[in-house]
Amino acid sequence: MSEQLKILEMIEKGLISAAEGMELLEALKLTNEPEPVQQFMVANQAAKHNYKYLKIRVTSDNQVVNVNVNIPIRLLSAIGEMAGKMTAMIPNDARKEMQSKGIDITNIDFAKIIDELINGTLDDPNIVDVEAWDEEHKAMVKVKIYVD
Amino acid sequence: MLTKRFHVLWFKMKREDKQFNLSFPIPIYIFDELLDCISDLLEFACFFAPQQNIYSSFSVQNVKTLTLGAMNLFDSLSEDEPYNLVDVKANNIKISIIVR
Repeated sequence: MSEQLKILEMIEKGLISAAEGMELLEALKLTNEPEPVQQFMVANQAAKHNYKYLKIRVTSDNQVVNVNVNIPIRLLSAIGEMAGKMTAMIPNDARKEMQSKGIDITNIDFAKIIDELINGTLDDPNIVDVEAWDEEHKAMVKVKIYVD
Repeated sequence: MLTKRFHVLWFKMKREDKQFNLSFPIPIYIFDELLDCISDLLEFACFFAPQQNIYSSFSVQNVKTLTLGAMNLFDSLSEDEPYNLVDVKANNIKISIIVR
Protein backbone atom coordinates (compact mmCIF):
# COMPACT_ATOMS: atom_id res chain seq x y z
CA MET A 1 0.00 0.00 0.00
CA SER A 2 2.87 2.35 0.82
CA GLU A 3 4.38 1.80 -2.65
CA GLN A 4 1.10 2.77 -4.30
CA LEU A 5 0.97 5.91 -2.15
CA LYS A 6 4.54 6.82 -3.13
CA ILE A 7 3.68 6.50 -6.83
CA LEU A 8 0.63 8.71 -6.37
CA GLU A 9 2.76 11.29 -4.55
CA MET A 10 5.30 11.23 -7.39
CA ILE A 11 2.47 11.94 -9.87
CA GLU A 12 1.18 14.73 -7.61
CA LYS A 13 4.62 16.32 -7.42
CA GLY A 14 5.02 16.04 -11.20
CA LEU A 15 8.05 13.78 -11.02
CA ILE A 16 6.36 11.23 -13.31
CA SER A 17 3.47 11.48 -15.74
CA ALA A 18 0.07 9.87 -15.08
CA ALA A 19 0.75 7.24 -17.75
CA GLU A 20 4.11 6.33 -16.18
CA GLY A 21 2.41 6.16 -12.79
CA MET A 22 -0.22 3.83 -14.21
CA GLU A 23 2.51 1.56 -15.60
CA LEU A 24 4.23 1.46 -12.22
CA LEU A 25 0.97 0.60 -10.47
CA GLU A 26 0.32 -2.22 -12.98
CA ALA A 27 3.84 -3.59 -12.38
CA LEU A 28 3.29 -3.44 -8.63
CA LYS A 29 0.03 -5.33 -8.99
CA LEU A 30 1.74 -8.10 -10.97
CA THR A 31 4.49 -8.57 -8.36
CA ASN A 32 1.92 -8.86 -5.58
CA GLU A 33 0.05 -11.69 -7.34
CA PRO A 34 1.03 -15.24 -6.23
CA GLU A 35 3.30 -17.02 -8.68
CA PRO A 36 1.74 -19.81 -10.76
CA VAL A 37 4.61 -22.16 -9.72
CA GLN A 38 3.57 -21.86 -6.08
CA GLN A 39 -0.02 -22.60 -7.00
CA PHE A 40 1.13 -25.71 -8.90
CA MET A 41 3.13 -26.88 -5.87
CA VAL A 42 0.10 -26.54 -3.59
CA ALA A 43 -2.03 -28.51 -6.06
CA ASN A 44 0.73 -31.10 -6.34
CA GLN A 45 0.92 -31.56 -2.58
CA ALA A 46 -2.80 -32.15 -2.47
CA ALA A 47 -2.39 -34.98 -4.98
CA LYS A 48 0.19 -36.76 -2.80
CA HIS A 49 -0.88 -39.98 -1.18
CA ASN A 50 -0.12 -41.14 2.31
CA TYR A 51 1.22 -44.63 1.63
CA LYS A 52 2.06 -46.88 4.59
CA TYR A 53 3.34 -50.11 3.10
CA LEU A 54 5.19 -51.38 0.08
CA LYS A 55 3.52 -54.69 -0.68
CA ILE A 56 5.00 -57.57 -2.62
CA ARG A 57 2.62 -60.31 -3.72
CA VAL A 58 3.59 -63.46 -5.57
CA THR A 59 0.70 -65.79 -6.27
CA SER A 60 0.19 -68.77 -8.51
CA ASP A 61 -3.15 -69.86 -9.89
CA ASN A 62 -2.80 -73.40 -8.41
CA GLN A 63 -1.84 -71.98 -4.97
CA VAL A 64 1.58 -73.74 -4.91
CA VAL A 65 3.43 -70.51 -4.19
CA ASN A 66 2.05 -67.69 -2.16
CA VAL A 67 4.34 -64.88 -1.01
CA ASN A 68 3.06 -61.89 0.85
CA VAL A 69 5.52 -59.27 2.09
CA ASN A 70 4.52 -55.96 3.67
CA ILE A 71 7.36 -53.49 4.12
CA PRO A 72 6.55 -50.35 6.11
CA ILE A 73 7.52 -47.18 4.27
CA ARG A 74 9.59 -46.09 7.29
CA LEU A 75 11.61 -49.29 6.98
CA LEU A 76 12.08 -48.66 3.28
CA SER A 77 13.40 -45.16 3.98
CA ALA A 78 15.82 -46.59 6.58
CA ILE A 79 17.03 -49.16 4.04
CA GLY A 80 17.57 -46.34 1.56
CA GLU A 81 19.64 -44.37 4.06
CA MET A 82 21.66 -47.46 4.92
CA ALA A 83 22.22 -48.28 1.25
CA GLY A 84 23.64 -44.79 0.82
CA LYS A 85 26.15 -45.42 3.61
CA MET A 86 26.98 -48.89 2.31
CA THR A 87 28.05 -47.46 -1.03
CA ALA A 88 30.89 -45.66 0.76
CA MET A 89 32.18 -49.03 1.98
CA ILE A 90 32.70 -50.55 -1.45
CA PRO A 91 36.37 -51.55 -1.84
CA ASN A 92 38.51 -49.40 -4.13
CA ASP A 93 39.17 -52.08 -6.72
CA ALA A 94 35.44 -52.86 -7.07
CA ARG A 95 34.70 -49.13 -7.29
CA LYS A 96 37.29 -48.66 -10.05
CA GLU A 97 35.95 -51.64 -11.96
CA MET A 98 32.44 -50.20 -11.81
CA GLN A 99 33.67 -46.74 -12.82
CA SER A 100 35.47 -48.24 -15.82
CA LYS A 101 32.09 -49.57 -16.92
CA GLY A 102 30.52 -46.15 -16.45
CA ILE A 103 28.83 -46.84 -13.11
CA ASP A 104 29.43 -44.28 -10.35
CA ILE A 105 27.50 -45.71 -7.44
CA THR A 106 28.56 -43.00 -4.96
CA ASN A 107 26.48 -40.43 -6.82
CA ILE A 108 23.30 -42.44 -6.40
CA ASP A 109 21.18 -41.16 -3.53
CA PHE A 110 19.12 -44.23 -2.64
CA ALA A 111 17.25 -42.51 0.20
CA LYS A 112 16.15 -39.75 -2.15
CA ILE A 113 15.04 -42.23 -4.79
CA ILE A 114 12.88 -44.08 -2.27
CA ASP A 115 11.52 -40.82 -0.88
CA GLU A 116 10.63 -39.65 -4.38
CA LEU A 117 9.05 -43.00 -5.14
CA ILE A 118 6.90 -43.07 -2.04
CA ASN A 119 6.22 -39.42 -1.23
CA GLY A 120 6.16 -38.31 -4.82
CA THR A 121 3.13 -38.14 -6.99
CA LEU A 122 2.67 -41.77 -7.89
CA ASP A 123 -0.53 -41.66 -9.94
CA ASP A 124 -0.59 -45.43 -10.18
CA PRO A 125 0.31 -47.26 -6.93
CA ASN A 126 1.26 -50.37 -8.92
CA ILE A 127 5.02 -50.42 -9.40
CA VAL A 128 5.36 -53.92 -10.84
CA ASP A 129 2.57 -56.08 -12.21
CA VAL A 130 3.84 -59.13 -14.07
CA GLU A 131 2.30 -62.45 -15.06
CA ALA A 132 4.49 -65.31 -16.25
CA TRP A 133 4.21 -69.04 -16.88
CA ASP A 134 6.20 -71.16 -14.39
CA GLU A 135 7.38 -74.29 -16.16
CA GLU A 136 8.48 -76.04 -12.94
CA HIS A 137 5.16 -75.76 -11.16
CA LYS A 138 3.07 -75.70 -14.32
CA ALA A 139 1.21 -72.64 -13.17
CA MET A 140 0.71 -69.01 -14.01
CA VAL A 141 2.63 -66.89 -11.49
CA LYS A 142 1.62 -63.33 -10.81
CA VAL A 143 4.05 -60.84 -9.26
CA LYS A 144 2.71 -57.57 -8.01
CA ILE A 145 4.60 -54.80 -6.20
CA TYR A 146 2.58 -51.83 -5.11
CA VAL A 147 2.24 -49.19 -2.43
CA ASP A 148 -0.78 -49.04 -0.19
CA MET B 1 -1.35 -53.46 25.94
CA LEU B 2 2.32 -54.08 26.50
CA THR B 3 2.87 -54.87 22.80
CA LYS B 4 1.81 -51.32 21.93
CA ARG B 5 5.00 -50.07 23.51
CA PHE B 6 7.23 -53.13 23.14
CA HIS B 7 6.74 -54.57 19.70
CA VAL B 8 7.25 -58.27 19.16
CA LEU B 9 8.41 -60.25 16.15
CA TRP B 10 6.43 -63.48 15.93
CA PHE B 11 8.13 -66.20 13.90
CA LYS B 12 5.75 -68.92 12.82
CA MET B 13 6.58 -72.01 10.85
CA LYS B 14 4.04 -74.63 9.93
CA ARG B 15 4.51 -77.81 7.95
CA GLU B 16 1.13 -79.11 6.90
CA ASP B 17 2.07 -82.64 5.85
CA LYS B 18 4.02 -83.59 9.04
CA GLN B 19 1.95 -81.67 11.59
CA PHE B 20 4.98 -79.61 12.54
CA ASN B 21 4.29 -76.28 14.14
CA LEU B 22 6.87 -73.86 15.49
CA SER B 23 6.02 -70.46 16.88
CA PHE B 24 8.09 -68.15 19.00
CA PRO B 25 8.05 -64.44 19.79
CA ILE B 26 11.12 -62.22 20.01
CA PRO B 27 10.71 -58.71 21.43
CA ILE B 28 12.26 -56.14 19.12
CA TYR B 29 13.90 -54.38 22.04
CA ILE B 30 16.20 -57.42 22.47
CA PHE B 31 17.74 -56.66 19.06
CA ASP B 32 17.81 -53.00 19.98
CA GLU B 33 19.61 -53.65 23.27
CA LEU B 34 22.02 -56.09 21.63
CA LEU B 35 22.93 -53.64 18.89
CA ASP B 36 23.21 -50.86 21.45
CA CYS B 37 25.77 -52.92 23.42
CA ILE B 38 27.70 -53.70 20.22
CA SER B 39 27.61 -50.02 19.31
CA ASP B 40 29.08 -49.07 22.73
CA LEU B 41 31.82 -51.67 22.35
CA LEU B 42 32.64 -50.39 18.88
CA GLU B 43 32.70 -46.83 20.18
CA PHE B 44 35.35 -47.95 22.65
CA ALA B 45 37.21 -49.90 19.96
CA CYS B 46 37.27 -46.81 17.73
CA PHE B 47 39.67 -45.11 20.21
CA PHE B 48 42.27 -47.80 19.58
CA ALA B 49 41.59 -48.56 15.93
CA PRO B 50 43.57 -46.41 13.50
CA GLN B 51 41.56 -43.84 11.56
CA GLN B 52 41.30 -45.26 8.08
CA ASN B 53 40.07 -43.88 4.84
CA ILE B 54 36.46 -45.06 4.65
CA TYR B 55 36.98 -46.01 1.01
CA SER B 56 39.96 -48.25 1.76
CA SER B 57 38.57 -51.33 3.51
CA PHE B 58 36.23 -52.69 6.14
CA SER B 59 37.12 -50.84 9.36
CA VAL B 60 35.76 -50.60 12.93
CA GLN B 61 34.25 -47.23 12.03
CA ASN B 62 32.34 -48.85 9.16
CA VAL B 63 31.05 -51.65 11.40
CA LYS B 64 29.85 -49.01 13.84
CA THR B 65 28.01 -47.19 11.04
CA LEU B 66 26.39 -50.48 10.01
CA THR B 67 25.35 -51.22 13.59
CA LEU B 68 23.69 -47.83 13.91
CA GLY B 69 21.95 -48.45 10.58
CA ALA B 70 20.70 -51.83 11.79
CA MET B 71 19.35 -50.18 14.96
CA ASN B 72 17.52 -47.71 12.77
CA LEU B 73 16.10 -50.59 10.73
CA PHE B 74 14.71 -52.37 13.79
CA ASP B 75 13.30 -49.09 15.05
CA SER B 76 11.48 -48.51 11.78
CA LEU B 77 9.86 -51.97 11.95
CA SER B 78 7.46 -50.75 14.62
CA GLU B 79 4.11 -49.56 13.37
CA ASP B 80 1.00 -48.59 15.31
CA GLU B 81 -0.97 -51.60 14.14
CA PRO B 82 0.11 -55.26 13.88
CA TYR B 83 1.01 -56.44 10.40
CA ASN B 84 2.42 -59.43 8.52
CA LEU B 85 5.97 -58.58 7.54
CA VAL B 86 6.47 -61.84 5.67
CA ASP B 87 3.96 -64.53 4.84
CA VAL B 88 5.28 -67.26 2.56
CA LYS B 89 3.60 -70.51 1.60
CA ALA B 90 5.32 -73.00 -0.66
CA ASN B 91 5.47 -76.81 -0.83
CA ASN B 92 3.24 -77.34 2.23
CA ILE B 93 5.43 -75.10 4.40
CA LYS B 94 4.13 -71.84 5.70
CA ILE B 95 6.47 -69.26 7.25
CA SER B 96 5.21 -66.03 8.76
CA ILE B 97 6.83 -63.13 10.52
CA ILE B 98 4.29 -60.93 12.24
CA VAL B 99 5.07 -57.63 13.91
CA ARG B 100 2.70 -56.77 16.72
